[in-house]
Amino acid sequence: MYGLIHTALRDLVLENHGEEKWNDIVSHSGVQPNSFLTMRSYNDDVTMALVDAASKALQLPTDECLKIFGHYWASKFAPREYGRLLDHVGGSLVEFFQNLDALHDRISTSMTEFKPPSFTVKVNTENSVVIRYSSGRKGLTSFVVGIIIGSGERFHTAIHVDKIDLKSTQQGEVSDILISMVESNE
Amino acid sequence: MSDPTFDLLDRMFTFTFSLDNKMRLSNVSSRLNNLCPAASNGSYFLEAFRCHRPATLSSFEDLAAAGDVLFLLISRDEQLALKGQMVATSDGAGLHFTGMPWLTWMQEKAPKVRLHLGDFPKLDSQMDQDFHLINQQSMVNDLGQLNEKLALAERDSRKSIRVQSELFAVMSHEMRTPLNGVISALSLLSEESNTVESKKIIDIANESANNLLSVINYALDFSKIDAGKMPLQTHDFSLVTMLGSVFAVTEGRANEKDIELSYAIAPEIQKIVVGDEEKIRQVLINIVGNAIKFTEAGGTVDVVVEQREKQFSFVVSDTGIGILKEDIPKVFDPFWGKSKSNSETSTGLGLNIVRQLVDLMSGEIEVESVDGVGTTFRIDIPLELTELDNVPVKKQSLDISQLTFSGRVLLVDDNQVNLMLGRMILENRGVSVRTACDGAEALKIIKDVFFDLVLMDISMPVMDGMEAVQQINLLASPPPVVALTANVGDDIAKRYLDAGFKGYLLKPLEKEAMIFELNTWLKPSNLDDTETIGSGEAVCNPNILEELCKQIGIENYLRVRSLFIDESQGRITSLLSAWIRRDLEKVRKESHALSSSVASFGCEDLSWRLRKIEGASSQGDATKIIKYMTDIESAAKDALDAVLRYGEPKGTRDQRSI
Repeated sequence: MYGLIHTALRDLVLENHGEEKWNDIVSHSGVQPNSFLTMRSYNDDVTMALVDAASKALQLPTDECLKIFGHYWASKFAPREYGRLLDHVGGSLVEFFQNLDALHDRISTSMTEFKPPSFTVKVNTENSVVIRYSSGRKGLTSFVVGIIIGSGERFHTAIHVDKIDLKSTQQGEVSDILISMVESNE
Repeated sequence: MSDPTFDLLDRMFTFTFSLDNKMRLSNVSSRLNNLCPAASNGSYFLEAFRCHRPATLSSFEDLAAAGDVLFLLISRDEQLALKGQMVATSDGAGLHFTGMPWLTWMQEKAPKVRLHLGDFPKLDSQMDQDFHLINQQSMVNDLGQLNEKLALAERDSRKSIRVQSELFAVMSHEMRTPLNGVISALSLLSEESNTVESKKIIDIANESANNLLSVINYALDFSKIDAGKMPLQTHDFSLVTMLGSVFAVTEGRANEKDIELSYAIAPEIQKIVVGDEEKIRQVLINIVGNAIKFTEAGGTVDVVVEQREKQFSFVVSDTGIGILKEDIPKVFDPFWGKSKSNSETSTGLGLNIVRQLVDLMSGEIEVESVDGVGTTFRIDIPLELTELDNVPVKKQSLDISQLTFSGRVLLVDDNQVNLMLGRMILENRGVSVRTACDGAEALKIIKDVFFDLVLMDISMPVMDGMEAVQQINLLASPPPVVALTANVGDDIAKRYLDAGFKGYLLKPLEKEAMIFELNTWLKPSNLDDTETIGSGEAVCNPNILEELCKQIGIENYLRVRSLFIDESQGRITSLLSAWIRRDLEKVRKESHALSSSVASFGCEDLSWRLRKIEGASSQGDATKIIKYMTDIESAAKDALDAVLRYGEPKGTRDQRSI
């Protein structure tokens, strides 16, 4: 994964738990000090080592840690770093996830090692949809759930995750995430 | 009108429209119409848009003539900007426009207008460029953060080095001060012991104390080199003199162990070179010392010096116990020590320090050894060659052990043990001693009592040595003050001399160094009285001055005299400074240069003294130098004053008239 993911995790920990906690996480993860260059591609092991170390340091289960991270990514980090770009992706949560693959297409022209997941949206009812997440990686559905909830905040939409149907594939996983949405007037 | 062609264009490009020769719009794509309602089928082009590029278009003919240029169009309501191109229809009667949003303008001028990914054709790279720019900014931010970390690390590193440096100074003082007491006390005891047994015991204690001092020095040197605090100090020096001093330090131990120690320098080798004499000496003392340590009685240690152009090789061979083959690669590692049947052990730091010193001098060191047969160290060091005379200097014979002095010395130290021992050493030399416990007390005493010399410690309460020497030098006719210090940094000497000290002595005090210092400032009281120090020659021979004046004229004489006085004063200062440093080669040079110039101004007595000093320094005879260096400063002053008094010799009026 690209270093910007690690940078996002660092910012999350620094903002909420301070520098000492972050230094503790880096120290226990065993990653090299130069693992936080935004546009450098790192082995997935580096990312997972940081997540595991964060999970232990924050005394949270890994899935919960990933969910918090995904939420931070979608609600704070990505809008701050890529807000201009994200504004073109859609004006609502559904539109956003419908266009996310097209955004990833664009990103791939600049980040040649980018291996993003794929998203499709199937409308269930007026206020619920199934977002299908397909990835060549395992174990990141919780991160995506966090992204969905965080993205909902961006679009002033409260999200409730009703059901997650996770299937492992040969190399990754496919998750059907059923969500209910309530738009607020904020 | 629906046309498969326009359907195709509509799918490939975000915005399309057609223009007839009256500039009416048709086939306007739905996306364009949605974003710019004024652009609808039947409306006029210039009512919907203004041309930003090309800037001067107002007619269909202008548009048609524009050809393959880039079109930048802005809607009249300033809410949409397009970029694209115009192509003519096959019959030339109309134009087609195909394009996409002009993203940069939209972001700057109409940021509230929401464009979607779908508004940009797949082949349009604007959004990619935008993303790329964002990434570039991220990388710049990364660089900024890394630079901040680097700056912080550099600050921490400097702080750490500063702390380490301060630790050197403190440790140097704290470890050497108690040793000062031990070694000085043992030295005194050794002089007073009158049984073989007690002398043997004292010698053992003395050797142990000196070994401990060596270990402390090694440890401090190791730390200093590690912290980069041992810069090179290069100057002219005599290889022979340097080797002689190494011999002087090591021969005693060799003699005790009945080891034959020899040095050989090929006659064709350049003897005067430029390099860091002290570091080379330290390297050789260590290597030769090791060779002696690990050689059994009856063995040999040979030192041979070779030269190939600017490369000088020092080869130290012994017939000692040798080094095991598997240990040879490790001998220069820190803390590598060995113990063999002769029960000699090494601290393990000496050879590592040797290698680091050799590296500092851009040299190389190699070792060959056969276990049980012997070892050879080869040290290659590049040295600059000089154009100085190739003067052979004999080994110094420093037979000053019996010198005594008359004079009054003030000894200043806050340590009572040091005061007691120092007083005993000085009084043994016939000197009258008074003591003080700090700089303030010393200053008070000096104001009332005359002293020939003040020996002063640096670190003292109330008023330290640095402040005290400055106060003392403000007095009328201040006595010379010499620093007593355990600090051994390379910049320490300069700091003391800059503060006003006339010299410094390292603690623990070495007898020889102390005697040299006393001799600089006090009068020896037991020199051979049958040989007078004075020449009996004239302080200033007026006939020589008259002759000089006649030859060059009074005006030139006065000009030359002024230059002579200035140069002579400078050379005397340089001569005394060289003597304080025990730089015999420099003493020889300065005395040689000065003796002839003062003779040309009739200063026959001074010239005689300087020639004696020149001769004594050529032979390395320090005792003789001491004899003739005594009063040299006052003799020089008398001579120069005499030259100045003979300002206008007789007969010059006649000379001018000619």
